[in-house]
Amino acid sequence: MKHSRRGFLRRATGLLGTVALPGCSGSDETRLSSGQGLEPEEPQPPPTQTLRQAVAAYFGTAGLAAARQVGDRYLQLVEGSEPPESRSSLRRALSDLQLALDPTMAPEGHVIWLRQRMDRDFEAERIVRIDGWRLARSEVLLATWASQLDDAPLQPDAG
Amino acid sequence: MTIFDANLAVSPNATLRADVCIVGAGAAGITLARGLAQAGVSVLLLEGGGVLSSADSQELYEAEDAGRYRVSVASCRQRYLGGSTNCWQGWCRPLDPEDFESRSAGLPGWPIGPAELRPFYARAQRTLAVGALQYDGASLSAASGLPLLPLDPARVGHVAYQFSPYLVQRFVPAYRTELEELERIALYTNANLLSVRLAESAERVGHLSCSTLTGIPFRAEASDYVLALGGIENPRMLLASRQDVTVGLGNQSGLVGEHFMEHPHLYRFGAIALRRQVDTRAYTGAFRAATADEYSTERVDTSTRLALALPRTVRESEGLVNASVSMVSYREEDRGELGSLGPEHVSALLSGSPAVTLYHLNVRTEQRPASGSRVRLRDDSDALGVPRARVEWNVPESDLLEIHRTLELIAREVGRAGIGRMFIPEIPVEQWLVSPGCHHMGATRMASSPEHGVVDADCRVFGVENLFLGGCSVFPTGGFANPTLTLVALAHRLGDHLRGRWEGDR
Repeated sequence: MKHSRRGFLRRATGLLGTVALPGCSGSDETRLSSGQGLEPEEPQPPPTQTLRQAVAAYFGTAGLAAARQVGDRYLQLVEGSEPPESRSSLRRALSDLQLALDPTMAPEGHVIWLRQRMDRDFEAERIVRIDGWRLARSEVLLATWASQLDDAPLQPDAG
Repeated sequence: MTIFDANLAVSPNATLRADVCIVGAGAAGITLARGLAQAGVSVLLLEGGGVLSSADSQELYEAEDAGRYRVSVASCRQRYLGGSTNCWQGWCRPLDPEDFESRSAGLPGWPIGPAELRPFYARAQRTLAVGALQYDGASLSAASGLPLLPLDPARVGHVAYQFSPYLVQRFVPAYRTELEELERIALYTNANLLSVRLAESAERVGHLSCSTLTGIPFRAEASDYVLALGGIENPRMLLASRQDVTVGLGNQSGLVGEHFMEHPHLYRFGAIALRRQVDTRAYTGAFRAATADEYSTERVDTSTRLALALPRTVRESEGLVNASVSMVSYREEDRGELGSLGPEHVSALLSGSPAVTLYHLNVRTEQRPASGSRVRLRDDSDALGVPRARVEWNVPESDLLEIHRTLELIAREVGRAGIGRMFIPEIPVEQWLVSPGCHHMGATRMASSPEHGVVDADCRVFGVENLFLGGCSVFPTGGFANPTLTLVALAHRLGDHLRGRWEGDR
């Protein structure tokens, strides 16, 4: 699937509050970047190389497109959700996941660590519903990150 | 056994006599008749229908299906020799021990416990030609060599169903040869019960008022009487027998017809996507598990299938109904229900899994006995002048919410175990398509006192010394297990009880 990262990235970063979106006029972008319910004082660190490697290792080339669709769908749901605090909650959760990744760990280690984290999510009922599917909070966050990253650095053997 | 067609063999106003009269030649009636006749008790077995199905007989089952959910009162039942064994699918499973306990505030559970019924379950297993009384998924998995799903048994368990062979599911062809050799049974077909009439003492049945559809009236007289008509007809005929007691027989407390239960079924409700390498054979197709019968050490190849269920500890801590969740192959045409995500997304989320296999879920669940679900009489009557039934099958919304929670907990464990992900439809419970299991239970419930039930622990109607009921209308609670095994076990138990009465009288 040809995935248009660019337009979605603008939305997503708007959601994340990391990048100003001057001149943004599209309806979705406007809604997302207009600051409704967002907290611009909470800057979002840009995706690290560690995160990129973890996303690439976890989903692999074959699973990346589908994972991005999961992330896209989740962002759509969050965007339409009330109350708007859930967006800032998502922003913090994405940040937390990135910060939790150990930059000294090999990609294979990230996969194991992420799986364990997802198991713990189910254990603790940190479960996200996407159109009826019961998914681990961490896997949805990882898919959301995947939906916001450009393709090039995500090749599993990159870096 | 001699088979008579009442249309041909009964003279108007004749009286048929035997030690015991059983009305209804289905699973319960035939089991009872066999047991009693083998013990030398003469049995008059009355079947309202013929040897084969007929529209005229089946029409007598027409009833008003007036509840929130449809029972399918006519199509669910077969009114001819063999009764609803003529459409039974052979699913066998006993009630779980906790199913015997009270499941609703103010309504006690069974006056007998699982230990009391266990030897009769073993006999019922043989009647239905299934294997040992073994329904623990882990044991059957070990016996078959087919693995269980790798789930934590403290969170999600594995229950088994056994399947009666097709040739035994149909009781008449299965047992016809044996029945024909039992000279103490006189079977009359086309012999319809009109009402149960009390003797002058009003504490005993004096006779049954009967008729053929062609209008030949006759009586049946016996020492003991058993109505084994089915879960709707048993309460209907007690309520319709109001010539001697205006409120109907056994209805002093107004409980005849009340607390009607079904097994709510949710077919193809939700889905489970499992890593392709997960072995699901024990769940998705019947398998053979050679198991030893604890009563005879006989080993029988049992046709078995597993399903998922929450362990008792989880259900009790969460306050949930008992239910099983089976997996069936997924229909491609149903993919649309999965919304924006599908198996390819689950496959991506399950890192390292090249593909997943999708299954539908079939949920079979307990219904808690509750007021507002009942069998009543209508003002209009059938061709024989018997008031028709009005069935109001209602399932408390709380039961359905408990099922939703059950699915959530299974989804949680499937995810935690890392074997897959589950899809639960985002449909409000009031819009769920709840189907019947054709299991009509509870409308003449068993209890230790008449204030809580219609029959006592011996299946005797309170207040009537010699009137008994067979079938699952006496179940005070129903669990999720298909009822045939339990009703056959109860029929064996009732047979022993009646035989004891007959031997005591002799």
